[in-house]
Amino acid sequence: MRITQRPITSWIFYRNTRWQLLLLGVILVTVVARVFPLEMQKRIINEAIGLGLYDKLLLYCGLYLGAVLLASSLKYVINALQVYLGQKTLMHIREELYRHILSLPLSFFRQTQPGMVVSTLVGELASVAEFVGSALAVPAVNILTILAFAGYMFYLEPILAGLSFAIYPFELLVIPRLQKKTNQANRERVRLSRKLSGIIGETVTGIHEVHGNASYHIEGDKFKNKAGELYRANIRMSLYRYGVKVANNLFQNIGPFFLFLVGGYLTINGRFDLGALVAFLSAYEKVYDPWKELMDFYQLLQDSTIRYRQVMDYFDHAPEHALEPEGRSPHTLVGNISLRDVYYTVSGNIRILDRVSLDVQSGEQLALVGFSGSGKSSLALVIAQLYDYSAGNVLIDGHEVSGLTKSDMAANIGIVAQHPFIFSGTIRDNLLYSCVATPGMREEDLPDLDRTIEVIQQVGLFRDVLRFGTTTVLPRDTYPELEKRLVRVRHEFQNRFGTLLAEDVEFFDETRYLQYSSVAGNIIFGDPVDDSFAEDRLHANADFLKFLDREGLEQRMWQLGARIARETVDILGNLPRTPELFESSPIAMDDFEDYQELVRELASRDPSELNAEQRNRLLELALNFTPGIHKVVALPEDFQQAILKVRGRFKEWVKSEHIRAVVVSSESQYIHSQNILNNILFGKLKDESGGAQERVARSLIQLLIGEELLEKIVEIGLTFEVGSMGDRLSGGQRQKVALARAFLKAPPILILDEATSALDNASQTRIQNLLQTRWKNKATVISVVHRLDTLAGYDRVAVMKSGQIIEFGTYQELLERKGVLYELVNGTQR
Amino acid sequence: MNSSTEPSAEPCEYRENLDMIRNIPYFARMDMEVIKVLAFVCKRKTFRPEEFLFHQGEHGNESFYVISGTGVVIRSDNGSKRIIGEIGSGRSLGTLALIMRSKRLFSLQALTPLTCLVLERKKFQAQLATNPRMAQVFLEAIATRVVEWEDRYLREDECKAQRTLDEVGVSLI
Repeated sequence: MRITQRPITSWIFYRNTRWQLLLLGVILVTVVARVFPLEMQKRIINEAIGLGLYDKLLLYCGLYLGAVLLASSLKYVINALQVYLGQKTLMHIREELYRHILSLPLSFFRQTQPGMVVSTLVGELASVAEFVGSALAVPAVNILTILAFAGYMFYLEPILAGLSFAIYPFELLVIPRLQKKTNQANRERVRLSRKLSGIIGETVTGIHEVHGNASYHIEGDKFKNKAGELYRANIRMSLYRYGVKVANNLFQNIGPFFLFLVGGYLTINGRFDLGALVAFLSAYEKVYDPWKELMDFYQLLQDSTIRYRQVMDYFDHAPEHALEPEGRSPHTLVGNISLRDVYYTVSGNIRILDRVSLDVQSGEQLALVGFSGSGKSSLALVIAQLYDYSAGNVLIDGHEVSGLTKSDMAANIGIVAQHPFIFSGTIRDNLLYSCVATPGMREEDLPDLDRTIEVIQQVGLFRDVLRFGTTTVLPRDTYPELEKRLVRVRHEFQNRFGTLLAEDVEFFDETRYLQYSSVAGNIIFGDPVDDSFAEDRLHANADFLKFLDREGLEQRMWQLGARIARETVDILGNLPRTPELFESSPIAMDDFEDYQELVRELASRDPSELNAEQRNRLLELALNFTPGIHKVVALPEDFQQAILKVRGRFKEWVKSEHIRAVVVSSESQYIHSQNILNNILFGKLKDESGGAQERVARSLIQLLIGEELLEKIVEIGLTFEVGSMGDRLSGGQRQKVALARAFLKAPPILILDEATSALDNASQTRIQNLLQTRWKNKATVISVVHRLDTLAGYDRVAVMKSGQIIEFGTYQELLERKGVLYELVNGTQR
Repeated sequence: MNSSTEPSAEPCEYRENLDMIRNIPYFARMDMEVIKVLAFVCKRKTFRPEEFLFHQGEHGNESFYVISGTGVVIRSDNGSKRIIGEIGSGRSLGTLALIMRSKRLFSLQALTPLTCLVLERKKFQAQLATNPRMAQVFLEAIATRVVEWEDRYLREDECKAQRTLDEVGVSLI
């Protein structure tokens, strides 16, 4: 059965039978341990106190204590078991539901927000866990407890017991009615508060008009009327709610009245003894708690069943294709594709594909062209089984595509989508994604480093990865040999390009203030060996703070920090926080709220009046400020001069007191706190210099080839983390990664859906050449083409319009025919 | 809000950018909060003489506003290069690249050192995505520009307009 069709109750014993039985066992013992003290109470009064026997008093009190301790510990065990069962089942449900959701057809996801899936799996199912955990335990423990207490009471005195339980039917009659009234009143209250919110929202949005017309009283009255209604509704609801409470209380407390009256009468008459009366009273009072718990459980049952059904119904669709073949391994296909009268219809009875027939031989390359909306992409995706055709046959090597499993497709097809998706992880993880996912792929069959580098060269990703490599900060003591060679590259760079690129690079010059280094970096001017002297940790270094104080710089730092904080908060204060915004922000995204708070403080106080922690935050901001990147404030010339002076004093101070903490930057040493590029440049790239990146990259490649370091740096670049959803990659880079991962997989069928649309002309041409040389006769290629100048390279061209193929043939044939393709190519048709 | 805060803010790159952007017609009507952010996320770049800012046929990802210097606009068709004209300070180029990835229709080369304000589409759109009303304001500014252009085009040279009747109506009016 599909997971979404299982009833909620089926989870109670799912992989839990033994634990549930154990739970039941514990419950039985617990119930006995709960009733036992009642009997002890009776005996303490009748036998021990009544007859004045000390030894019996001690014995019964001891037994009483033992039973109470046992019951309490067992209660804890029951709770622990409930939680364990509930959470374990929740984990199972989540796992299985997630697998199910992932297998649902794409059409389902077009109508589903990712947020919906997230909230379902993370939040919504929590009450189901609670239910499963308590499904057996709560009813069992409470019903048994009530029965046991009731039984004991009937055993003591049947008439009295009957009397005390006679109240419960009344309670069942009155309380639910009151509850219903309460709910009604609550709904009314919610409705009114929405109305009131609407009024406030409208007035505030139109505040211009209110001010313009001085219509304060009109808007004020509107508000007053609704607020009055809400006030009354609130009171009404509260009265009902307390009514329920009071009624509950009353029923609970009126019981003993009967007991004393009737019980007292019986006792005076000698038909009932005093001990039994006390035990009876206790039993009566103890029935209330389990009763209440049962009521709560009933509510939980209702809530979680509804919640569970909603969730499951939402995802209750069948996957369109089986994931794994049964009784065989996935097919190995050669890629003969044949379409016969294929229709693809979407909701609203719109025909996206209208009787398409087509034959592509293994190894042939077919281009699909046409206007947007002509169905060319859909055709490619129907062949790839991503869309399901409504009628006709799509055959690959004679197998009907609709009957193939996902594994069959994955083993034989590589797809490059127009907007490929990149997952978080390293570049290399993403390049190997398709290979790793391919059914039957073993670890040792995965492409090795050389093959990976070959492919990233082919798709033109090499330079990008090289750049990622050069922006890596090497971990200390891991690559001693590489560091030495990089220092050699540095000298070579200085000799050959030093003067040429002087405008593009800000060199680490000890006599100058560095615009592209932080204030902290300018003071340190070196390689902090001791972590507490790292640029971003300096503000927390107590020794350094004393040094700053001695230099008389603290005040100025706070002032600078305050200026930066004010300006930045003013600009970004009310905006949604996005990474794009914070790229050039001196305040990190996660710290922003703290600084907002700080700026509010600064409105009425001078930085020097803040407390030590707040001042330290300002210092942190000032120390991390980098004028070359952060433009919100200017760094005054005299401040820069002051820092330069402090740089010298810092060097002396470190030498005399922290001899090993910082190694001052020198041209002959690798700087571990800087990335590879900055080490080679012995400086930083100037962002404002147009084309600098290109020029430096060119010279760098020459040098790295000379030192035979190119591949090493690329290898390091492959470990670059692409960020969540690959957001640290550009559109072009993402497409190149997607192409490379398909090429690395080397499937017999390649489906390219405008796969080069985000690339520049040179890269597009490179990919086109690659298809026509390396992949010629190796893979069947179906390519949705957006650039007509690449068409000549394809074996055949299909021109599509309104879901039909209107021209089909070689490029030359179609041009000679002077039909639609001819017009498209020559641009006469709009 | 009263003006108890500092009356004259110190000059810095961000404030200069702010004043420039406020006067670019495409952005002028946007809310001040948005203009502030644009001034905050844009970057200045200086190009050496003969350096290309972009090449014809490339896909543009950013717009330029010339702060100082001169550049030359070059168009090549079928292998022959044609100089369309020179541009100087105060000129915006490539604004449509802020809306979509469009092909550059010409190359732009620096003649003298050329300093520009560069705004990336990614950052611009991240801003508009959170503020649909600003997207509307921006589109209106662009549309106004297209309408003005067509109006001028039709008025200036009626013969030319006759010849290329196909072009009439590009403003969709």
